[in-house]
Amino acid sequence: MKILVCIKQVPDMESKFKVDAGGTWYARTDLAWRMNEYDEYAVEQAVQLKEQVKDADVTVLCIGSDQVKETMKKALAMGCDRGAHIADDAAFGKEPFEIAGIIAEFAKGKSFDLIFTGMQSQDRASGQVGVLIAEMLDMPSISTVVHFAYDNGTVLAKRELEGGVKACVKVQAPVVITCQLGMNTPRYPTLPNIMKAKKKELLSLPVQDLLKVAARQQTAKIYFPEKKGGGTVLEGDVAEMADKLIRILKEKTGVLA
Amino acid sequence: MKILLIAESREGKLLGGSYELVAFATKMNAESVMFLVGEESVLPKYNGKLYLADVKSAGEYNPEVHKQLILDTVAK
Amino acid sequence: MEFSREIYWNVGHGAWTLVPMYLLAIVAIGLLVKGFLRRVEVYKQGLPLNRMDQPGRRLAIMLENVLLQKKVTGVPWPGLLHGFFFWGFGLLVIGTTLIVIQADFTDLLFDVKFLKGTFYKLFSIVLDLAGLVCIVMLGGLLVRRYFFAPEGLETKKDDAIMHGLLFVILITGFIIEGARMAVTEMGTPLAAWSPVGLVVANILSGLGEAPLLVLHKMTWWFHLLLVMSFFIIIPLTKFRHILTTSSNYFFSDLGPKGKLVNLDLENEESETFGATSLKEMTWKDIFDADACTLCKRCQDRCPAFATGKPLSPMKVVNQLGEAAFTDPEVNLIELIGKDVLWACTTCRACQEICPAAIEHVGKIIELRRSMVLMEGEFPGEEVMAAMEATEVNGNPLGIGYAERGDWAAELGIPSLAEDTAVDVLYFVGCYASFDKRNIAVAKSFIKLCQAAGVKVGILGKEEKCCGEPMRKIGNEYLYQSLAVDQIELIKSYGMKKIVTTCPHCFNTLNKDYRDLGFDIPVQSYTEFLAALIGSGKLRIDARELSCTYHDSCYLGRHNDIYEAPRQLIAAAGGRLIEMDKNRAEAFCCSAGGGRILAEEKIGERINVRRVEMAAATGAPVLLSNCPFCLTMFEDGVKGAGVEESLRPKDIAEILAERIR
Repeated sequence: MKILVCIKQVPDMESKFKVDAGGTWYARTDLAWRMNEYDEYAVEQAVQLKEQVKDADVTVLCIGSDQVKETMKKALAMGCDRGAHIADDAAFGKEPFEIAGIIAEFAKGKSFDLIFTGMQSQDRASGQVGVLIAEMLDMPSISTVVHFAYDNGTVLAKRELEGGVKACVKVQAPVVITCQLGMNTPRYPTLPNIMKAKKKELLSLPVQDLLKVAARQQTAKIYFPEKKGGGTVLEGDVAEMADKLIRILKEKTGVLA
Repeated sequence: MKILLIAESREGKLLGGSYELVAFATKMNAESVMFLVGEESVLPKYNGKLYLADVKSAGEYNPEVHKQLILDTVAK
Repeated sequence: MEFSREIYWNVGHGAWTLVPMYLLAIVAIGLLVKGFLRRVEVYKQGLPLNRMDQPGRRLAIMLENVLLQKKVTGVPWPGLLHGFFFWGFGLLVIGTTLIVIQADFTDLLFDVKFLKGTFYKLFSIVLDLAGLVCIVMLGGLLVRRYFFAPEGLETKKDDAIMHGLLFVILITGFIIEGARMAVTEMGTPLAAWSPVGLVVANILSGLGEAPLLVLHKMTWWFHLLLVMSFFIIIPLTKFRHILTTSSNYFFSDLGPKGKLVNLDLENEESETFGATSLKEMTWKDIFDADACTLCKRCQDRCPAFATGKPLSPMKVVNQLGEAAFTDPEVNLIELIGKDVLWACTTCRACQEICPAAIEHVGKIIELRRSMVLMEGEFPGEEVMAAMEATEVNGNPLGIGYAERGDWAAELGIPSLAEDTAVDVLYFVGCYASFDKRNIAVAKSFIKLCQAAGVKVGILGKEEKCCGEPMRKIGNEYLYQSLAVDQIELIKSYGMKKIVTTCPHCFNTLNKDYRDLGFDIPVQSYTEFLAALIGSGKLRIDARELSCTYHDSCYLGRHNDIYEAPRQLIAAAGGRLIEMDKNRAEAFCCSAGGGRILAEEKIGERINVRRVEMAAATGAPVLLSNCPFCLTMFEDGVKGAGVEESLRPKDIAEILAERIR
């Protein structure tokens, strides 16, 4: 069985974000980097599947500068067998269709039985890449999966829908799965596996060889949400508070007009 | 400008997001048509053209059939 | 007349006595040696560990603790019972040896007798009283064990055998003496030099000479057989502690105190890290169990045990020993239990009090290392999250690393990246960098340095966690990556001195980092400030303050710094009301051993227990010297419902409030 896991290196969400000079993305200074949370579920599920079926080979793919190799090493330490690094210093500016195009181009003809991605990235959060890969490769996809089971070519997945509803989906592999929180608990790599990971294959491919599609959208601007005024706590006895409330409603709203 | 609104209903109720679609189309002041798998009765007041698929035959949750129906709608 | 007595009186000094006696002795000693050699084979299952270096220093530690019973009598009751018994028994052994030397060597071969005259009188009374002391002490120990057993004292078959055998040996000794005196010394001035023997003689004297001779002879042989049995069963019963515990002092960890063994992570050959089986522990870990006398002093002081957690340091040590002798292949982590191993706060109370020089903490860490490094297991998901947060942001709180130095911005403290011309580097630590309550402590410390004219620098956003909680949880890999990074960084700035306000950072930089090539002097802020006050550079207004003080485990037991913080409190005008458990007996706050990262899910809250002890002093302020302690106490005063009446504070804060 061949499995592909697509991961992304994202800034830690606790970092201090600043908008970069171009105004279309965040500045890369003072950021700490890590694996996209949803991709951790993807890696964990791929490794669990490998452990289940025994005979499997897991490729982890990541697009970005050399810096993303650190994150790929974590995926290798968690149990992926080999790494495919798509070298692209400008990956952060690529839109989902391009990213999916690069991945689909890489995966084409490699007959992966399963492709796992996160359901979205924590920084761009388009949630499109996994589904687009499936369409480009003419594979079925199941998105926002919170429970995954595999038995002899059949995938049984539970998806999370709005309002706490879950859907059970059954599909024959090959299939693309996009992973959501709750699917599993990603493992902490053991030291022997960290050491083994250092020796695993990690090939770099230039992005030019794989980027065959044109961008369809561009980010016009990114900005911090405007600070909305905080609530006002009224104090005093009931009559006093009622007076204050009426005054505010008269002055600031049309409710009592 | 012509907009296709894809509304969704589940268990006989229109999903919240679908109301927003109508509001958005109104705001854009564009001609819109709507596609829905479900009963007409769940819809709020809507003036545009409606392509309605029957829940019983299309199913509430069936991506392949829905996809084909939407593509058919787009073709019209 | 010459004061002396006939050795082998009544039993005879011919071949009929000597041959069977010496044959018995040879057999007994042979069996004793054989018994121990068997045990040595079991010890050898463990990994090698050199505990033979510095033999002189080791011997001194051994003599001090064996001959002077220093550690044993550290707990006066029942330590003194054991101590006096030991000293009495020691005198009896010496006395008996002198008899053997004179009768069977010096007198036999060279006609030299030294047990005579004044020396004999002294010999006689000393041995006579030593026997009495032994009986009284043994009686005391027996009454304690069998009638007023303190909670947790385990009594086994061994204890009955030991008490019984020793009692009969001592009593038969007096019967032999009494029978001999009844026949030979009644009415002589010599009798007064054996007062206890004389009492027995008076009781026996009515029997008449012939029965006395028979009684004497039979008891003599019986006594001899008992003594030989004693030798034989030493390796087979807890009597073995006579040899094992004594040797364990020799094999003591010579320090630095409490420093963990540095794992070699570079070694490509190693496939396992930490220990799951006995083969991965050292011989000393097995030997420790043989040195244990089940005195339960460790268990009595274990904060985890005291609050209903499944850990007993004594039990862990003995489980290892039992496994070594009965089931050496067993998985120790399953045998002991994960909850047990995670419960340890590495507070060192067990090791500090142990009268057998047993090293409890290292064993627990070694087993934790296996759980973390080989299985990726932690006491809870929150701990794994803290590990990942540290990998990403260099602190277990998960706050963006770039904000680490923000607290100091308004104080005009440069980061070394901006200015290296500073007197000392203040290694701030994670809590004082990010936690609001502890930032107040860091600011107080800076104010004190500024008042004393000391120019302080920090590492700012380049500083990372020292790695202490990770190391204690068992994550040696993460600890070493952090340590190597920080060592290289600090060295690159050419600093001459480092001060910390966190005893965990202090201990780690000052001990653990030394194994990784770090040689810059590190000082705890308590000693640093005490020196500044002592030299007059820092002037503090003494203003009345009633307070109690908590000795943190890592400043106290791990580093023996008890006086500097008390000097600081006195300099601030503090009237210190000590808690019952203070200094080396201080009760942990719950946050050591990496437990600061973990939820306390089992039993009562340790921090609440400690806060209640502080509240019992009636003092309105609880002073401490550690950000972990402060954090736990801020939480603990709420848990104990004493928020209004007891305020936790760091010593730096009360000093900063009193800068002149």
